[in-house]
Amino acid sequence: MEATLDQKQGTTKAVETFYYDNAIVRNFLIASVIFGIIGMTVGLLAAMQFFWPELSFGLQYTTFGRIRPLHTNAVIFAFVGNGIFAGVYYSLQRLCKTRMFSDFLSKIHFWGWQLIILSAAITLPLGITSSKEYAELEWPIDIAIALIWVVFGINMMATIIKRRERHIYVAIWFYIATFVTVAMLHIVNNIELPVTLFKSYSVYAGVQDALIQWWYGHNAVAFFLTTPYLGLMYYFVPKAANRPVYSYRLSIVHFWALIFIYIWAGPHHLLYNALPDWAQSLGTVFSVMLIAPSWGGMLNGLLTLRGAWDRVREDPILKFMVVAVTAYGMSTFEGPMLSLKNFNAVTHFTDWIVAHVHVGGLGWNGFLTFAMLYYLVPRMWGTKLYSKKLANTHFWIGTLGIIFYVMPLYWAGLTQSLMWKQFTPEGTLVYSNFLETVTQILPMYMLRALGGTLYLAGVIVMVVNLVKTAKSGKFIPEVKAEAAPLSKGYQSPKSDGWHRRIFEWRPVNMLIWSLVAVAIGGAVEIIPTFLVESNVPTIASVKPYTPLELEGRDIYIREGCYTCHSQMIRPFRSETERYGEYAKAGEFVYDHPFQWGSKRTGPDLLRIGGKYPHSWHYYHMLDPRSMSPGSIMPPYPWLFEQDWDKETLPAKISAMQTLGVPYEDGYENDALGDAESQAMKIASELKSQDITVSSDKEIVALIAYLQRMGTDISKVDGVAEN
Amino acid sequence: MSKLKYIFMVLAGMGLPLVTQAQDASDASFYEQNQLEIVLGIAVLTVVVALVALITALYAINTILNVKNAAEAEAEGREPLGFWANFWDRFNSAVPLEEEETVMTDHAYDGIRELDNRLPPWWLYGFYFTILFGVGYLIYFHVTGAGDLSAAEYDKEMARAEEEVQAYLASQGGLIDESSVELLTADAEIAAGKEIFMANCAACHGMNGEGTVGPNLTDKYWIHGGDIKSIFKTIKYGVPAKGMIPWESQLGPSDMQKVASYIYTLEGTNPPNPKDPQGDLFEREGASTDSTEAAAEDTTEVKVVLEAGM
Repeated sequence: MEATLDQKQGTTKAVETFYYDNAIVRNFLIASVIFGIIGMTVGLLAAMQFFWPELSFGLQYTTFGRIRPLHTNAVIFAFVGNGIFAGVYYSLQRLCKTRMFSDFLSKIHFWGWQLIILSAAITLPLGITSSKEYAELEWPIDIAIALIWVVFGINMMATIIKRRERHIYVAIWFYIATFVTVAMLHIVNNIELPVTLFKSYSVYAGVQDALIQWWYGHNAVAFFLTTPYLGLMYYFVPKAANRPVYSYRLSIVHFWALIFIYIWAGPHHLLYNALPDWAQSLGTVFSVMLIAPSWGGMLNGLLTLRGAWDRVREDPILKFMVVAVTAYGMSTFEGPMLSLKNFNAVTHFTDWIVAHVHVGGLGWNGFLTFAMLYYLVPRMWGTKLYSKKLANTHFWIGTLGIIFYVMPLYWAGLTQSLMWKQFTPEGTLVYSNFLETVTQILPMYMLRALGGTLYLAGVIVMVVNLVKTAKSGKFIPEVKAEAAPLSKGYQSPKSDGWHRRIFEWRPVNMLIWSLVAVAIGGAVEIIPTFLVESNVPTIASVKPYTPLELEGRDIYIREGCYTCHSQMIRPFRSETERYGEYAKAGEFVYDHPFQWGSKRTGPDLLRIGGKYPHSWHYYHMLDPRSMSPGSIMPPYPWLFEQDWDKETLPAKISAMQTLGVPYEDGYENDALGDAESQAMKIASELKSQDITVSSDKEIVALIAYLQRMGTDISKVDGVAEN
Repeated sequence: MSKLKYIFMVLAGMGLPLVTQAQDASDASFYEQNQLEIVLGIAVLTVVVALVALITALYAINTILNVKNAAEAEAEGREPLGFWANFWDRFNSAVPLEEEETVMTDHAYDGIRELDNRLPPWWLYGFYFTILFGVGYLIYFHVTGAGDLSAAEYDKEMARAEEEVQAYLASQGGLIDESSVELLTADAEIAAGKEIFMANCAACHGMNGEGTVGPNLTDKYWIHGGDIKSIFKTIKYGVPAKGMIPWESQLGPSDMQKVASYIYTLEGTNPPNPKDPQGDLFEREGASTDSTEAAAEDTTEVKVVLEAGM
């Protein structure tokens, strides 16, 4: 390791010797790979359930609604998360010329994070979920995440502060922005009121809950899947290519533009939803403005390879990097296009979006992680890569996997959406039976699973290669390095640019201004939605759920129904004809949390209330194919065996009261009685339809909720103003 | 090129389900039946043609510029730069590799050095353009109010659709409703009715109309009347209180007429596992055992038609 002296300060200080901690990097690397394989396997299982519903195994723990959050959480927070930490711990020490601030904090960070993942892997299949996408984990785990994240932040900032390199490199800017922003997003989105150890309600309701959730959800993509990986790109691409970074000023411009603009774009997840129009428009325009800042990162990555393209043909690491950065460019162009209202009207709720996120996930995050692994393992084990050929094989299988994953889903999304929208000249829907539009695209789902299989096979090839590599060498836990400490009383020379003088030697400044940059967009969008009443016009006939309906709703949340069914009818003829009156903001004021959903594998359920008799729901939940031949929904037999939760019902009502739901004072004492008599009524109605069921069973509570959904609005003449 | 070929083959393969869908023939015109496929087909064709044209054009320009580039290089006594490298450098206004040191900064981090190339102009102006677009978008929708927001857009869409439907119905000689509906008897129409029945009604009324969640449609007892007009009316408006949904938003009048006619033929078919009769005995005029046999024959024919249509 070279020990460059800071020449500008002309220091004569003695050179210090210190050691880089490779062990912590290795731990995170291994965790990333293991959880990557688990997360992708769960994803593959979920993908195969689309055309092979029996793969739910008849178990409540393995239905799509429960393993989809398991898949997303595993690949985002376990695979990519551990990948981020591995890359950060490796590069940060070297960029700062110092060991990590505290080995103890590093260890707490590592083991704490793995425990969080373990608890997620246990609670999500058990149906313990807050149902907010990518933030499904319940409140005790949320607190643990916040604590461990802060441990990471302290360890990182303290390392930066005790650095031996005067200026902080662009990779570190991205790490700092990642730390502050994720902390902000996680805390704000997960403010929830605990009812029991494993159950809580979001303090926000309906429109506000949706806005905050997608402010979080979108920026989880931005600040967990993008900015830390841009940081890794800025370290590993120039390292692997042995080329200088293309443009320092491009780094500055795209860094600040990216973090400032990204945070505004959340509402593009809610276009044509019951979100105020002004917020939707902000989501659209900031998404469009995001193209250039995103592409700034891509350009700086690709143009850094200028003069190294001849080696791209030979070096698998560079190949992975090129595809990763290109995939980043593709998905960050596609994102803004999907934010245009007319294109969004076609693609939202369809598989197009699933394809879109997988271009980013498989291409950008996956391939950059693989490049990093191929770069790090030989260096950390002091050897050469076991087989370049296997790495090339991995590259081609993986690329093919991505193509086979996304192409069929683009096609499926477009096909299904156009089928949803097609009318006969008489003015009725051509495909009035939703299921027709599902069975139509089943072949595409099969191809997608093939793509996923290929991609996973590639990862396994990589693991074999890396294990063989590691075995051929010996792990180097400590790497010796030398550098002089920074002198005190440094003043930035006037000849330096403004950015260098203000930020690049003052990391705390960087931290504070990053926070300011990311706080603005969220504040402008979120605060008025809470404070200005006209944003959520009240509807007098909308009343709180009865206790039994609330209980049924909690079952709906537990089963993850939102992963396949929306509760958001958009103002399109094709949706109001199919589902009924479009959704109004005022309908959701008691929905803690909101259940609008983001994908329609099955039909929208907002106006399902009263559409079918109780018996239809009874048979349908027991065996969906009996009522809907060819349905790909799994059966839910346990709802007919388990009793709904009477014990915590009073506490749930009290919690709702605390959140402002207008139950009468002391109603928590009557709630159970009311719930039981409503359950009895439903059971007797079912009896009249030749079905004998105990009123204690969960199915009764679920039917109560389903039959209530979206019906309040029809109790007034005409529809409230929107 | 061979890679491209494979990509096209894969893409073509993905189109297969649409092709099979196109084979669900019925009496509507080919265009009406296959509107979606035609539009998509045209879109894909356009893209393919555009791509081929683009590649050809680029190839031509490449060849021309390579000649020019080689000549220039020879004059200056240096290695000629490839077309793409040359184009890309100019496009990004990047400093040529050989002159890189002129934009090298004194930054070095763990051996990583930084150049300070200009911002690619196309990128910078693209950024300005998106900002202008954003401002324009907000002005258009929220300041001048010229653009329709969701609710207004919806109202216009509904009004336009209503107009189109009325125009169509007028051209068809008016709407079939519960007062004008006639029993259809042609085999093809009954077969179409059966198809609609299987897709929409069988879940609650049984595959043969024997009744499960919903009442038995094959006996002589009818809750809301067993003549064609009553059946049509029950389908159209439903009986929401008892769980029968109104179908008028999902089935067009002629479809409701077909399925009502099919249901009419079910009376007396005596399927297995019939649900107990509900409602009142409803005597049709001229009902006889013959019609039962006829209906049964129809059913087999229908089956053949259905299988052929798969």
